[in-house]
Amino acid sequence: MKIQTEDVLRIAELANLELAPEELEPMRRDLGNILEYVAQLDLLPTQGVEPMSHATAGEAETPALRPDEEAPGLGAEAALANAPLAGEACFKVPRVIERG
Amino acid sequence: MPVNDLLQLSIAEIRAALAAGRLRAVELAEAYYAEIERGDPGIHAYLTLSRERALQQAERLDRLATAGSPLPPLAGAPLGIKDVISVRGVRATCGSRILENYIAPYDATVIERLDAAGAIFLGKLNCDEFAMGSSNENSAFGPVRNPRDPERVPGGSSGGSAAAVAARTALATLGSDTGGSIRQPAAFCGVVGVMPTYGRVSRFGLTAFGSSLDRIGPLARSVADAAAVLHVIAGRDLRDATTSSLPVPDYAAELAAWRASSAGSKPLAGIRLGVVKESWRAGLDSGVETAVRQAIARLETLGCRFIEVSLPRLDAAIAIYYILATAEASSNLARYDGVRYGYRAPDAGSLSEMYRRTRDRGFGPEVKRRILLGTYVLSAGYYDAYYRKAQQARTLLAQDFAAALAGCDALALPTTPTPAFRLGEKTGDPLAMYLADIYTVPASLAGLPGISLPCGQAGGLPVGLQLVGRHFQESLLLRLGQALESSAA
Repeated sequence: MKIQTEDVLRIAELANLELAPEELEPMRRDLGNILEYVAQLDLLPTQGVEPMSHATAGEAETPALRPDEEAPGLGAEAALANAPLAGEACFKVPRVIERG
Repeated sequence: MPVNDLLQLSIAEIRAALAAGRLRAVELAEAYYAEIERGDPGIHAYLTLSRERALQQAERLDRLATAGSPLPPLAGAPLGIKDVISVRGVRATCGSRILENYIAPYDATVIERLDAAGAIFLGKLNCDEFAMGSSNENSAFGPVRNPRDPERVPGGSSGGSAAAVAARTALATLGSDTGGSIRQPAAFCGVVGVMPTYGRVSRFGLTAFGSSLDRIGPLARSVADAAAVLHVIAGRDLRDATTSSLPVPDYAAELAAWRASSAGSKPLAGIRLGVVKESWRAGLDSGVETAVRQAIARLETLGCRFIEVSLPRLDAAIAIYYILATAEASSNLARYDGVRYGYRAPDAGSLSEMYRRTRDRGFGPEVKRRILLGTYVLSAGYYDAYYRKAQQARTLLAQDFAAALAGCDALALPTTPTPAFRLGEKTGDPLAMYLADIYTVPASLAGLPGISLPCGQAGGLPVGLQLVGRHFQESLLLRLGQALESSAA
């Protein structure tokens, strides 16, 4: 799988990563090598095989649902304690909408 | 008690000494802190010490002992915790700049249970950033050195967890294992490492990397200590819907009972072990192979019967893993955006610029590589070719394991292809680092339990024998481990 610099830039944008110019070429090379390696799966016949989406064993003993009971949450103060910027019981971020 | 003797005590011995008034928990905790101060600067296993909480807990236990009250099962046991597991009020960096100043606001379920069982948390242990790596060289706070040879890596990603046990700066530790991160460092440092069945131990409070693969488990100097910790942390948790409600055996009591009743020369008679024939492959160090084959021969002497089994799709494991684990990681790590916690780039003009700069500066190169790879394999047009294909291949690999384990009770194979390598030896080639996970990744994908046991040396460095069992058959793996351990002594 040939991967181009434009591909790296496109994925970086999807992943919300801003790569520095000097990061691009090594990343392109590493991703290319890894994708070339994983392409070996193409040789494995998988037609009609059910995809394994989780590893939970003994599903009868692993109930996915629990009783819907009220329990105390973390609380606003603790939840905000690690925020880079907070105020008035909210997380604060740079302005999203410009004033008209 | 002389300090050197204090550091030798097992979990059971500590509890007995506290109950008999021969030892105080505070004295033991202080002995460990003194050892950390003396030994850790050369190893760098610890990122944060939690002395205040540790001493409060130790004082509480000393009051219980003085009052003659019954002591909880892990009373006074000084443990270290991998930094991807939340301990309330203590920094949890996950080895990343992006969480450098993050203080965990709650206890992980495993921490709650260990706390209630009387364990003492000495501090938080170094690891590869977000548990991504096999050498601990991806920690933003600097690598850990292998106590058996400081020029070499301790393995990863639970490098600090293995090194602290080997250096005796913790009695036992918690690690996490996504593709080998407990078993591989245990092998490199010459300690016991247990990856329980997926669903046996709650992941609540474990920072998510690959959610269908992540597991918490103990590392310890002895199988009995690992069993005692596992017994406490295992079991259903309503805060992790993937945990099983199957009853949890008292692993340590089982081991003690079994030891008492197995005086004969063939204590493992009736147990069938499968040797995975694809294990003996190019890239396996000859010294490692010799040590593993000798361990297998010892188990045979103890009564195990060996048969040859095959995992025909073993070769596909690394490809499957690095598609699925990175896909899950790219989703799990989307939460680090500078809004709710952690680092935020101060110079962004807009929200999207803030996200991107925060993540670019906060994450190290390996984490970025995996996020990009995971984003790529999930992106439009590639999902079926990579992600779905890997999920199907995972089904086939799990079927290979089921077929192999239908004819035997557990599988035996090396934990790693080589002993611990030198710092810097593999950092230039990420793919070469990934390929060295060939023996640990398969059981991770299949959701099966695995244990790595010290089994001699190669070139003066520790070697690990890995045993992989059926789902929820941790008891058998521990029993085999204890037998191997006793036969070496």
